[in-house]
Amino acid sequence: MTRALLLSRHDAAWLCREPAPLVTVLITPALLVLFIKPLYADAVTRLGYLHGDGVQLAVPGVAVMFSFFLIGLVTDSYFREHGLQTWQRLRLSPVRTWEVLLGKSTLCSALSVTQTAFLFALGWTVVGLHITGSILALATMALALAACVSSFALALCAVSASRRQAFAAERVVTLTWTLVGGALVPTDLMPALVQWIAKATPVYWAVNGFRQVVLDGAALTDILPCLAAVLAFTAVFTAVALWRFPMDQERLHWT
Amino acid sequence: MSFNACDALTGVTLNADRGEVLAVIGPNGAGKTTLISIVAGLLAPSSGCTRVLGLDATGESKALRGRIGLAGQDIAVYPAHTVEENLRFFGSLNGLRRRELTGAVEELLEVLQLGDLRKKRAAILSGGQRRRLHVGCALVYRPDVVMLDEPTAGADPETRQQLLRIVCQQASRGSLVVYTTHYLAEVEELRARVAVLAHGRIVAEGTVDRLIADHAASELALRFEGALPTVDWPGARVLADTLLLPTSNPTTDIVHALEAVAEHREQLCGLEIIRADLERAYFNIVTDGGCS
Repeated sequence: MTRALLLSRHDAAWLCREPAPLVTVLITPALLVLFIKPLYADAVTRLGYLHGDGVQLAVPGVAVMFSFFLIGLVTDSYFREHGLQTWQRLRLSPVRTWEVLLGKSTLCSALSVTQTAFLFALGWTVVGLHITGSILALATMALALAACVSSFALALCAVSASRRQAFAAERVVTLTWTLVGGALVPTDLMPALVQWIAKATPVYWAVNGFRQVVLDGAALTDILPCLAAVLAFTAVFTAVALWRFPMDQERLHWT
Repeated sequence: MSFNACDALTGVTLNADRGEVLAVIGPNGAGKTTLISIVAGLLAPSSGCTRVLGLDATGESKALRGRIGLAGQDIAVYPAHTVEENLRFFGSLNGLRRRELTGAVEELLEVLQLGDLRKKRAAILSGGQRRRLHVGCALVYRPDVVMLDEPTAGADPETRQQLLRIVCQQASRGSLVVYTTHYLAEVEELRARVAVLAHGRIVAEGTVDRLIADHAASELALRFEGALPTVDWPGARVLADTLLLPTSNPTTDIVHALEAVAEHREQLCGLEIIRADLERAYFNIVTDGGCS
């Protein structure tokens, strides 16, 4: 555990020295929430929430979408070790595979939770987001989402042969999930086939969980199916990462 | 450490003990880095076995973690982290804590002459400073086996001397140091035991003195203007305008050589003793496949 913490602290120090990704974490989604909120005003009414002004859809959607955009922090950290030739040093150290997985994903999880909390706080204080449900349910969903994002990032590291491959997969998969899963356009407004496909993405369950808390006044027990689905995805991604994580192989940073 | 493997390396058998410096030399592509990688457990041999500190380097590699320090050919440090942070990170990762860690880091900063740069990021260090830090990261946790793959490549003479001093220090502390280089003077300076690797095979092995004695001889080089004289000297040979006379005792034989060419002393325009050294032995070993 100490070694896992050491790895995550090491990555945190790196991020502090080169903090550009933090702009993506906080400023970009905040701006997006402010700009797209009016666009959702009509959509939220069409879903039957007559008093909604759009922010109830914008904040959960953007929070989930940008959480998945944090995947790059993990894949970059992992492939950077190969690019800097420091992976050999890690291999020769007593650090175990699960410690590397935990150490490399902790920062991403922490940032995902921070980002979600920041966006909901911004929505509440600046654009009048009223959370009708349980804050505990909201926090639990934020933690589950963070775990899901981190585990997916680790699975990508495990199956990608190079940083570029991981980058391409990350972009294609997260954008598809975001679009199909209802982060931008509520799935209720999409064709029936897409609504069915959406359920095969973790984004759908995370967005639904958040929206149930925000719009329907849901408690923790009400969102258990959404939480279970997100955690099931997390379990699958973690299993892939543990199964395929190439601790004993050298990978390409850039091909 | 003992090693016996095939393929890119064929029939390589080597033994080395703690407290020893084993220098592995050979031409580019001879298999030096492959050898280092196999011994470190980073690469599995297709056949054969490698035992390090009494353990199978492939099958029991987990038990060896933290006991082997490797400084590969490519510099492996974190450029965004400071000199001290790099050393502390690898020390902590390999089990050093608090006082022990601080002691090891401080000692290396002093030995590597990086103390004044401790708060500087690795990215802004000069090539030599970064190379010293690279070696330091492999030594900070005081491993039992230290593998240095061309650690002085591209280093200035001062850096080279510092690194050689550190290698000697490691060996004197009881670590086994496996050292590859193309600078044969370094091997002589380290008084290392030498293994010459060529085409994936060990073609010669022994102390520096043994290899020189077995594979090289000193020569007297007599340069003439015009025709070269014919002399009755065992092993004498001609190279352009120079007569090369093998000798095991140059100071005595120089007199005999001058006597032998006395009739042509008007044409003699230069005399030089070419002493046998590891470089000459190495060339003979590599070109003759180990037989001089």
